[in-house]
Amino acid sequence: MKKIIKYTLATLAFAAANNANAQNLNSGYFLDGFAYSHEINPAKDYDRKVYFSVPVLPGNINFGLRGNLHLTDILHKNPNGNGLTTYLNPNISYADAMKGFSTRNTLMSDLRFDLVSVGFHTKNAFHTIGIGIRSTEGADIPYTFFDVTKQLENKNYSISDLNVQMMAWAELSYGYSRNINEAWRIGGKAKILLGGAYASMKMDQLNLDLTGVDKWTVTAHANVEAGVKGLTWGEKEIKEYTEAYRKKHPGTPATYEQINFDNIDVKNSGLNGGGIAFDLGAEWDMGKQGILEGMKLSASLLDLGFIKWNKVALAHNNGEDFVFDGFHHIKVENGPGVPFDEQADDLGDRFSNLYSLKDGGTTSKTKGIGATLNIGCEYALPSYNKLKFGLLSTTRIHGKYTWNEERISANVSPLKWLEGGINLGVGTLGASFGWIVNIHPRGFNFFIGGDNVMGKLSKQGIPLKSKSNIAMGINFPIGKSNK
Amino acid sequence: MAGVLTATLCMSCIDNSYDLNDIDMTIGNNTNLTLPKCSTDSILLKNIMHLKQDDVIKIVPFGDGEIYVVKQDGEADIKPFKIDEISVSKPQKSTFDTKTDVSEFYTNSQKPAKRKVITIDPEIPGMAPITIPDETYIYEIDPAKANMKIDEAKANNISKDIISIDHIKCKEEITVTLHLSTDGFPTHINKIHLDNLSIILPEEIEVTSCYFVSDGEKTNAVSIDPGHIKLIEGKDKARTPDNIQLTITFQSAHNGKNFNFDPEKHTASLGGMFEVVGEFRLMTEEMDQALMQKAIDNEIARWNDKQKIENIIKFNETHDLRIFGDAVIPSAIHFKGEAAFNKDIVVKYISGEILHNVDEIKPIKLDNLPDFLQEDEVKLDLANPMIFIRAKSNLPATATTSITLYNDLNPEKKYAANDLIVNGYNKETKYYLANNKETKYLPTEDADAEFRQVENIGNLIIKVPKEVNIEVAPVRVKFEDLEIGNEHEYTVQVDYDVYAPLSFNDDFYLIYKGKDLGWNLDDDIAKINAKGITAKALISSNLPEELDFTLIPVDANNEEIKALEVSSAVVKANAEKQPITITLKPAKGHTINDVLAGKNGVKKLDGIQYRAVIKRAEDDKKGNAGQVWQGNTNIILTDIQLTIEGPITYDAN
Repeated sequence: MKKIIKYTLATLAFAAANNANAQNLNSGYFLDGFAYSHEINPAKDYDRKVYFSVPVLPGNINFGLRGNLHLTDILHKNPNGNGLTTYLNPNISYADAMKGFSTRNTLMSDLRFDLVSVGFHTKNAFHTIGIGIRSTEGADIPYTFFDVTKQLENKNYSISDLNVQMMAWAELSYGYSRNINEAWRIGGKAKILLGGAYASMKMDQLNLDLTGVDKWTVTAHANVEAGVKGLTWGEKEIKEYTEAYRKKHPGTPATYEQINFDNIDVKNSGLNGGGIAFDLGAEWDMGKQGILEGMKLSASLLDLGFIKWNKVALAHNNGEDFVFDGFHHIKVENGPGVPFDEQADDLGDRFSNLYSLKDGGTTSKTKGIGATLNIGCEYALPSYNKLKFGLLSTTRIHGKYTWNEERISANVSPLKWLEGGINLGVGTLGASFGWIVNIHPRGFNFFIGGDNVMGKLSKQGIPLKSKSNIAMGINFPIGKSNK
Repeated sequence: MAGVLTATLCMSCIDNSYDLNDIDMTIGNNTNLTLPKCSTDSILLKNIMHLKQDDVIKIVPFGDGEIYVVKQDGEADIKPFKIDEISVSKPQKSTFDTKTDVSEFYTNSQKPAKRKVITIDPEIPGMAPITIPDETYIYEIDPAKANMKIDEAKANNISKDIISIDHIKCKEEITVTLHLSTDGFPTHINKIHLDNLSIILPEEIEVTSCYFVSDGEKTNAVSIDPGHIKLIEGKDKARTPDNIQLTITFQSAHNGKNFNFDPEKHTASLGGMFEVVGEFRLMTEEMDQALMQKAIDNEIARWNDKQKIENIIKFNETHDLRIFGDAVIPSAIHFKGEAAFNKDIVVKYISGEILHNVDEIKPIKLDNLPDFLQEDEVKLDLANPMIFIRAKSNLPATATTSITLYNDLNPEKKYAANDLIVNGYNKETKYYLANNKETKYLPTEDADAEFRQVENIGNLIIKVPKEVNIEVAPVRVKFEDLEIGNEHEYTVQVDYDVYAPLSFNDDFYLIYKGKDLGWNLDDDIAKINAKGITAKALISSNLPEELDFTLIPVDANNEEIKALEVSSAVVKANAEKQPITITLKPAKGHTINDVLAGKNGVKKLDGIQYRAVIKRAEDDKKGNAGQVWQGNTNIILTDIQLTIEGPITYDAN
């Protein structure tokens, strides 16, 4: 039980420690002076001739957490008034503990850090070149996991599809956009992806049937993949089967190997794969089309690509069912029967077989990096075109970590060098409130904002809610606004 | 500016009460958790009891199976004993030297034949020659004088076991030689008769043969009777008056005034005397006439005249030759005797009685008691305890003894079996002492044992003593012709068993206590708490009595921890899948964690004692013995369901 808690918290800490939001700052989608709108839609234009960022200053750094699993779901105020405690504390009622959990509990964190970003206009087009680092992490934990850990009782539990995954890569991109007529603008971006690290842990099936009065059955299928160059599982731990186990399972060898995560070794680390991805976008100015003045429609499909991980170390358990049908014919005081110790040893070995991971060799894996579909609609008041309203639908398509939100925003540009906006999003991960301030006087641009207000943080600065996002950047625009 | 703005935005949102460094990691479960059913195999009573080979309770074969019995063997350490050889040194030679006077004479007829005419000295006037008549002279032997007292011989240091000797038999025949001789006869007397010659001797000596040699002729005794050997009956024939050598042979003797045994001093003595009875007889006609005349003449020649005349006149009147003096007819015969034993009297067989003290017998130690017999409350109310006595002796006779039993708890109360007869000749004797004659549970090997009732002998062990003392009275043996000596070792072996099938009366009460200590609970265990633990099971047992089972949690000092309450369970006699429930809960004001961690004034749990009381249920009391516990008595627990009752917590801090 203690290990379960440790691993649960470690998983959450893993996600929280990388609390960046790879989502682009959607709050800036409808701001003409937001230099990085091309990362949300490659068809987006920029209102200055050129902008560039320098590596020593963050041109665009975006941290974010997203999900419906919050730190407050795990850590509660201790009912005894002393600090915090986990949801596992029996003083936290079952109802209180479980009300924060959903059928599926996801926690995603993403990081985008653009080291170099340059945008410039040519005669008809806007070009962007970027070098950045991105990572994405996710944990997807089913409700029953929390149920079984909170209240283990004689029930049937199915903890299927417990996933933890992370991926980190470097990205070299070139973007191009141009007007194809007066009303339409299209853009695209090609990205070369350099794989850094990939890891995945999947518990395909963890079923605990504790309802039987005669037996408990546990089924677990676990797989671990680690795509890090130079990674080996290291020296295996040699474990001995007990005599009791071998007696009950004739033909069993005396020992078996299992992976000891303490022995994992990484030598000659470096890039472990590569891939490509494309961003595609389009924008339709319905005003210029003569349909509705001030109305624009836009759409983009981002990160349509993959990374092939060259060497992925595999590990898995043997997937055999673990059955505990009680201890029978227990030998008591030198009487007939089987000694309890012997039966307990056999049980221990069989349980060890359930969770011990064995080296599955290496393979290559091709993994998508998760695509994002944005559809936007903006409307600038004809009477006061410095105020725009926008509606942005974003759908993240990434397997277990797929989500969707609709975000409505109000954006204002009271001055040529100042603009901002507020927005409200609702979606599969709940509601969120976003904001942005973008200051871009001549030669300098600083923006800060977030699609999710950070909300409260722990004393150590960890967001209490997993809807936290902050992005900021300093860039250097050159040239006049094209507006 | 950006940093200041960011910091401001963030700092403003920090919830200082949400400190990740202050997390109480107590975890737990609020509901119950029941483990799958478990079961035991047969829990054999003998294993629970930890019966060892030398335990007082044993499982012995009986019929087709086995039964429990209180059984303790013992063997009386009666050392073999010997009756030392009895040796009486041969008595010193004894003699007598006496004179036997003429007691009677007579002429042989009214007209005695004139055997000889003796011419009287012609110078004596008027004296005609005289005729010597046929006369007989009797010299009766006076036994008061003709006897040889046996120099009393003693045998000392006779075995103390001998309390009486009736009869002895010597290793070899003893010969007593009696030399009888006479002297002083004038030369004309060359024949003598030993009429009615007998020997009076100690009647205890059992003479086997007797003869005498005279004139070179061996003559057997006419009759041999106790204390009296008749050598010559009636008139004897004429013999040369020379030595007579009498040989008396004997090999046995019996107790009497001359041969007696002193049981106090452990001595035996042989005394008495040999007396000669009979008479010498001389007859004139068998004497040498010429020499006799010459002797007479010599006598007369020594007379003065007057006296001559007077003596001759007297002779004519009396015909008593003795007036001529001892030279003609001795007035007394010089009679000598000498008796000598040829060897020491070495006794080989005795008849009599032995009283052999049995050394102190080691008590039946009941110190190898299983725990359940060691409690003060135990009442071993056995149905019919038996004490088997097996005795064997190689004595050539039966012996009698008594056995007394008592225990160290009440040594005043004794249980005795008297007049137990122990067979001799290595034939085993078996008894069993019991309150009632046993009809069913006599061990096969002792089925032929003879019953001796000892009332209420069960009380001897109803409160189990440390030992049962056994006293075996001295073994009394009356015997005949018991061979004695170093080469003969006599044994009396007495084995005994306490043998009592575990079949109890209503009042029996056994307490079995066990313990499992030194758990030294891991620190992780000390972080656990639970509301309680409930164990349910179905119990089956062929124990014919009710069993009341209690668990007692104890600390490292083996002292009960009262902060933890454990319920007891009662298993009915011959239970068949009887449901039982044992619960373990903290006492009011405490938690199980107090006990596991040893806190809040509660000592840490370090083990458990279990206490089982085996007794008869009140409803089952019938005033008689219950079933005998069978060797396969066992308990089986099935459908064991262990439920840990929530909230269950673990302090993972």
